Amino acid sequence: MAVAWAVILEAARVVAVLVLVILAAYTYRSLFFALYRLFSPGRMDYTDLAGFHLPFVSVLVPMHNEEAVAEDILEALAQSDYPKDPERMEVIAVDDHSTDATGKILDDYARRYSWVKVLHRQGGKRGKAAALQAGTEAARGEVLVVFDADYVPGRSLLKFLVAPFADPEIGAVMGRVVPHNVGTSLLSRLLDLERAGGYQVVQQARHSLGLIPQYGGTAGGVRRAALDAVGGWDPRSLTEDTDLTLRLVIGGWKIAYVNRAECYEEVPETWEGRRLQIERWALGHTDCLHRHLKPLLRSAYLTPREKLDGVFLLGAYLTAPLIALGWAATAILFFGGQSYLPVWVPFFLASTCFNAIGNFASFFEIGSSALLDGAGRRVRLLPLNVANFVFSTVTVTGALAKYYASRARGRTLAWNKTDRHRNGNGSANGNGDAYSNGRGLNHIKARAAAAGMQRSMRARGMDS
Amino acid sequence: MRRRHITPHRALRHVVFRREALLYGAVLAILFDAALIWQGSRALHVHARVVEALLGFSGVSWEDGTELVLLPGLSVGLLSTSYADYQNYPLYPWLFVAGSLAFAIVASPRSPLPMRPLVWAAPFSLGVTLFYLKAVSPGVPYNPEDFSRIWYHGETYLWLLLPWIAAVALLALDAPLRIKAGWLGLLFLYSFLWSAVRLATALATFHYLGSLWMPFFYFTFGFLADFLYIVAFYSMAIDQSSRALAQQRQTWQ
Repeated sequence: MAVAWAVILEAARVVAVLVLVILAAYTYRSLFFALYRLFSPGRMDYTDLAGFHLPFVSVLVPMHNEEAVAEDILEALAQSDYPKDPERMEVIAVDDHSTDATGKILDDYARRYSWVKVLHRQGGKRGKAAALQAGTEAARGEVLVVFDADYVPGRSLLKFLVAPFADPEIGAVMGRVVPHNVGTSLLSRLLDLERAGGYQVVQQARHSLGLIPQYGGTAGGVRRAALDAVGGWDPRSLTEDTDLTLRLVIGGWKIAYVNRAECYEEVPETWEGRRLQIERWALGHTDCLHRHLKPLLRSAYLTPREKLDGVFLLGAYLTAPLIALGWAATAILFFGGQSYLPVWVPFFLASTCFNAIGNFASFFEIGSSALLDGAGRRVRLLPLNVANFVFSTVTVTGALAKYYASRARGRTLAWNKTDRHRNGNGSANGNGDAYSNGRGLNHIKARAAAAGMQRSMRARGMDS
Repeated sequence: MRRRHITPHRALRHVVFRREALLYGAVLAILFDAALIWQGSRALHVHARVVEALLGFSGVSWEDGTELVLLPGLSVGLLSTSYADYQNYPLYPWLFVAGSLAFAIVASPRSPLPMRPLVWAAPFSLGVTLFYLKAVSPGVPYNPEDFSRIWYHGETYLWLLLPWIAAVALLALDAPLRIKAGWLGLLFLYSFLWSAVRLATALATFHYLGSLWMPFFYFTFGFLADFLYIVAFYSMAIDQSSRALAQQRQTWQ
């Protein structure tokens, strides 16, 4: 018994130190990104090209039972300032096995606007990647821009988003995603903070440092030639965005991020919705880790810095079970009487550093984004993100346990659709009523504009 | 508030970096750490007196314990308190586990999803400790004085680190000194007083409810509590700093 206990203690020590080293590396990365983004002018070079490079764009919108939101995105695209010339822009809405009124709504729009085309898919493989593949086959554009159905592109998004494609090395471009339903719940407010940190700080820092900004699968564009070169969309993938990001960079293409290309999304308003969302991300992302890690490390096109960033990107969701493992090891050390006593000063110092700064690093990213966006007031909710952090850690750990169990049994995992909280009501032609009803595109615009207005007022010193 | 079109949010291209701000932060951190090592024993003496007062207020008896040397020249006299003896109260551990379990069963379905892991933290830690007490050893590896020793080690290192965190996260910003210095001062004051309150609460709980509660306090009242108030102060400082930075129109794109 004593020998077994000694072995357990030794193992706990090794695990604790290993976890600390890995998490310290992520900590350093987060701090570096935040500081670099805060204090470095960075690269904004493609922004100035907006409106001067206008390639033929095919906008792909895969939809499965999206009657609540279908009109909003199509109407937002109709209001886009991108030229509606038949040789400049087409929208391909893919009705993917819908059983509600999605198909009818899309057909109505196709009758109203010549640049809207509808693909009705009632057979074949289901899922976003398969729908995108069908849309891609029908597309004529040299750039494919993809939106999930619940996203609402900003008026100038397309111009900003396609500008970097003037650079022939660019294979994909990612825009900034901003929640429009902030204020509907505490969760949506916390996710607004998280998204701001992720895009304004992390994505922009990666872009500026010449690393690997992640193509996010929606509010992003991909060059048709690049997509064809890497084999198109992979219908096996749960997160086709991460999958495509990796295949593009491994194949020698660059990915750009444009902070000004804003798209408005509906973030989950319930914790159950959030759980399903991060479960899917964790599963798909980790699946990509297993498929792309070796090719990434062997790629002849990537610098060591880019490879390191790719490894961090692929391993991001593994930090959750590592943290859980670290908690378990610390508990064992505590009961072993070996926790934080003077003989353990180096370990103690390291864990203190991690607890004080390591955990703090991701919060520092969010704080930095609040400074850059001028959205200070909302950042006071930051301490509540600890609950979000614990929740994500537990959820991702559970999801990865499920993933590895399924993998051991040779099974594939199913895709979970995120809940929609909007209620379509013909808002496409709506006026103020849509705002007061809390529904429709006008309502989304008003909410997003209100968020933007608050920040803009700060910018002009009107917020006193 | 309505707009015809959603326009992109204005954002700072970057925050002006002033080397002198970072230099001031580093100098301040060095001075603070030097002062803490030089005069820290006095501060820790005050800390211990606050804990004594709170223990006295709670009716917990204490004795002078050993002198803990944290760093050369930095020491504090520990307080020796006692555990509730489970030989006199054999049902206590079972009652605590059952009570916290019942609370979690009732409260968990009514709690928001992210709070549920926290609701289950008490029955989980108490249950594991009960298992340890019954299956491995009749007592936890630390007495209350050891707990204080661990506590002072942790807090001292945190106080040594805090100025460096502030130097990077707050003092380097091109925000008015009054905001940075004000929030930093409040942070240290709060950190000092809250540390004493938490330590006294933990020692009083051990005195009345026994050693079963030590791991729970160790994991939830220690660094987790420190982390929460650090982030809270940081977020409020950022709120004010962002207003100040927003006045610097030349950096807006």
